Amino acid sequence: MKTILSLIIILIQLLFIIQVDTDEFRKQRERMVNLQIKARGVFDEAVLNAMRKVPRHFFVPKNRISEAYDDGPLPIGYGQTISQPFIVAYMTEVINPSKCKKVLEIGTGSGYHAAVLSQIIGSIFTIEIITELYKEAKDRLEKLGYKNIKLKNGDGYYGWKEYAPFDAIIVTAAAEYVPPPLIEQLKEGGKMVIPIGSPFSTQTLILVEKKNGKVYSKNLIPVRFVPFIRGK
Amino acid sequence: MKNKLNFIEVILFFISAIVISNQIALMQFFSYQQWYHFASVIISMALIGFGISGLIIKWLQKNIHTEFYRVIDWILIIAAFSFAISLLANQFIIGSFDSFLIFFDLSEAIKFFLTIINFTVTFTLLALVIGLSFSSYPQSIGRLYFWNLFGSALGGIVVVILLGILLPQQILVLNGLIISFLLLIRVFAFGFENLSKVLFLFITIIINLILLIKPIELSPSQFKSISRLKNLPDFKIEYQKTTSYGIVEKISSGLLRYSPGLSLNYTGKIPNVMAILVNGDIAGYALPSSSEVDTSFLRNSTLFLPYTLKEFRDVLILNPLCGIELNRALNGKIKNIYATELNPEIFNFLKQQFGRLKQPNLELFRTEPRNFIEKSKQRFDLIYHPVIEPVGLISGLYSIQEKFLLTKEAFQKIYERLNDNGYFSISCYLDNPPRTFLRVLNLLLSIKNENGEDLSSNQLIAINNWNVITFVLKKGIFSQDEISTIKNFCDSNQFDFLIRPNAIVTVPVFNSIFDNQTLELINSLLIKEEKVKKNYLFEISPPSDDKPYFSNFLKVTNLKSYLQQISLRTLTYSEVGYFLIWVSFCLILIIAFLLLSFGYIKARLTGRMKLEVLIYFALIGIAFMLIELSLIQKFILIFTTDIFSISFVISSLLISSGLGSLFTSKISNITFIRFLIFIVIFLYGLMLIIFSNFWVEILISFNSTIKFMLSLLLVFPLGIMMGMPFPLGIKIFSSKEVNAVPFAWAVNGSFSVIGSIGAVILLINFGFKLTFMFALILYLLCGLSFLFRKNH
Repeated sequence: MKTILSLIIILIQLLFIIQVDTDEFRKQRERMVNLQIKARGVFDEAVLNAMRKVPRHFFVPKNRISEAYDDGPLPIGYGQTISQPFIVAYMTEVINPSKCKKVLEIGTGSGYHAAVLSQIIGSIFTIEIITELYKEAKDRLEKLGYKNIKLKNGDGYYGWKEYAPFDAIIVTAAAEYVPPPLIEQLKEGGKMVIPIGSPFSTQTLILVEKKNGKVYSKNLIPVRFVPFIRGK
Repeated sequence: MKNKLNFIEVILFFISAIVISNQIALMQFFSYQQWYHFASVIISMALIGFGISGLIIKWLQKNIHTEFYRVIDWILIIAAFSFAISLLANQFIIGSFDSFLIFFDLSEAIKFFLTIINFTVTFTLLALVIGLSFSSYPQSIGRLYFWNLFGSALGGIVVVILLGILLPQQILVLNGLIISFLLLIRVFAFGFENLSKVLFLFITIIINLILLIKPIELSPSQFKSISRLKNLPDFKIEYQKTTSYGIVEKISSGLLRYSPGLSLNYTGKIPNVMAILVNGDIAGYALPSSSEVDTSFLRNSTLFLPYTLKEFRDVLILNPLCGIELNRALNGKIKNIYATELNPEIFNFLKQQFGRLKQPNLELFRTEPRNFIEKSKQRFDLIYHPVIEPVGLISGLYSIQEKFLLTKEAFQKIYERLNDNGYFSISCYLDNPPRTFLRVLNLLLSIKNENGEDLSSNQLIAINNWNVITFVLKKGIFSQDEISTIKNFCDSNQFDFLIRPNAIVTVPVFNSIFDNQTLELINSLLIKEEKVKKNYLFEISPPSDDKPYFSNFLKVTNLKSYLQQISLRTLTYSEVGYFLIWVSFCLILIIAFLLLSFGYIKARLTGRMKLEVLIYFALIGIAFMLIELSLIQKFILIFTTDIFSISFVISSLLISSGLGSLFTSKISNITFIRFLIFIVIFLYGLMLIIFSNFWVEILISFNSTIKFMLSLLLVFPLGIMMGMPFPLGIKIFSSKEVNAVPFAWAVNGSFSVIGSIGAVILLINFGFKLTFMFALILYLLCGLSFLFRKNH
């Protein structure tokens, strides 16, 4: 009986531990930054610090906490995933983040990318189409105290006209086309990062830039992402 | 006694029909929940059931036969009950496994294993009834065997019809109900000796009835299109209908739009569409039929390129994607549009949407595109293939699916159906590492002209936006005017003219999406440097009718470097279908091994005898399944869908091989005569291989009834001969040692199970001809083992 009781106590303690940011998680983040991100060529110190700060294990499902800092995407339910840490860092670096910028994110997902962006960018606007994910992300970001993130539950196709134009737009899920309103809401000289490729296959990260009224696209790196729900 | 025998005959007829119908309904069930019908796994489940039943009969032999009817009644009641229970267990206890997550979530692999066990229970119970009937009435084996075969054949046909009326999960419980009502009739006719049976029977009927009237909701994987669409806030299923071709659903949402290949400088609106799904996967999109809907956005896509080249008289659209590609064509200048659609529901929907069209003239054909191309003698000015793998399809999971429209033979036929100076247009999404569009390019480059020579480099061009590439192949040389038109189209939409006539690959200006290595790769393919294709990490050679697996890019020889590039976690995002078959193979192997070990331990035979039985029955077990699965692959091309092909091949092989077993008793005891059976199988099979292109082409060209009859004529001789080695082996081995029979049964069952999934692996890697040849060699080895025994 005593053994069972002590096992239950240990289990409760374990459950408590995984809900907080421990030294072990900090160490894992440091390892993640050094081995997965810096090693692949992301050197922007602000981005690296943001990746060191945001506790990724708060953004993954409880049964996947042990894999939170692994080098890959993880399923978060509803057929969606949280992106690979390197990809989050890479996309953030590509848009030249600064405190004076305004960024729109299409596809909040777990809220992790928005949390990373909020460390180094002034205002973040993020739209999630799946109501359940939106509610979970809103709740999570509020609890963690992220103040400069505005969330909306809706169709990413239309962007967020009230706050447009944006210095950058990050689309976190692969799409088969770029919604015209998003191009319109991108500032002249602004950057949009979007993964492409048919859903579930290996995808490529594309940088879309608006220059002198023309729109150019450029392949950045191959990437695997959550598929973009049509209409978003 | 006679009445009771009649009852057994009736039961045998229905049970045999239900075994087949259960298999095919389960295939449809998995097609909806997962990405694949898992035919080989389901056939294995049935075979495992038969194997286990054999062991049970052997184990309980004495007790069972003395109380035959009491035992049969109970088995039937439990079997009827198991249909409902296995469905409920799958839904609420085990839970639907997710093939997408199997590779990095052990619990999903366990669920998969439990699912196999769960559905095997029903097959085992049904097999027990068949096995018990045979072993209890050996004197009436001829009649019983007839009803067994007749039932199996009819089951395969009826289930295809039923799939057009009921959902697969309804068919499963209907099977339970049929058994229950048969028992009910028996209650009235003969009476049950105790009330508990009747009570249990009524409970079974009630549960099955409830599940028939209110079917359990299928729970597709969270990654399937239907599940992802369900997450949309205003998701609504407007319409759901089950057809023999799959479950058709029309989904509306104010958030659905479709526009592949759209220009980045397009600023207009993209209207909402309705998504049409078949078995939970998106089959296409439909714009509202209202004339107020502006469809001009469809012009601002790379896919519109062929329509800009000239005014067309006859245009064939190979897959109108439920209407959206007809809308695109209507933006061009065309006199006659022809389109193909196999699914009757989508076909009727298209007729409703576009039926009133006066100009241009639209003719819809209810057929599958490859079949249409083979049958039609008409020629076209443009043959249009929409973007490959419309949104919702997952290339990796489809890597084991046969695509007979994307093979060398299909592309050659398409070219032959073009008028002089006609065009063939095909588009695909760009992927990374580049695979899909390189394979399409290779397919186009595999086309030969009328003299059997390679096409001129002035006949192919390609343009791209940021994620789609559109190829246009001309049956003639591109003129300067055409090149100017293409240039203007590209400039106005900010597309890049990637491949120009004379095999010139240009560096894109607007969409810098290709690195130098990819551009060099495209160039080397255009100038046909075979070495480059061979050295490439992925298999990008054009698929053929022999190996029609367009989406399987895996080179087994490069597996190590492939796994290094694509980690185990990201495997789920790539060629997962191929690996899924290996997982199934491993799981089935464990079960087969357990069965075999049990049989081996229980067999009271000498070591030499065991070895001889093992070799003989293992060879015929594997060979039979290799031939069955190979034929299923080939007949998909003839019967247009996998379910039709599976149903036909299983039923026809069952009847013919059953007839073959009946003839066995009339075969002479002379060893050489027996050896001849194997020689005939080998030679007939060899003929099928050598003339496969010929008979396939002939069969495709006929209408359904003649096609069916001729296919039967083709399969029957082989099936009859293939039905002989098993009873022949039993006769020979049992004459020496009566205990050889159960062991032979276990060996044959276990190796058939291995053979059924092994066949899929062989087919993907080596194709139809080699797999079939391998099976024939196994039969030949069996025959030689006869001679060897004699000499020895």
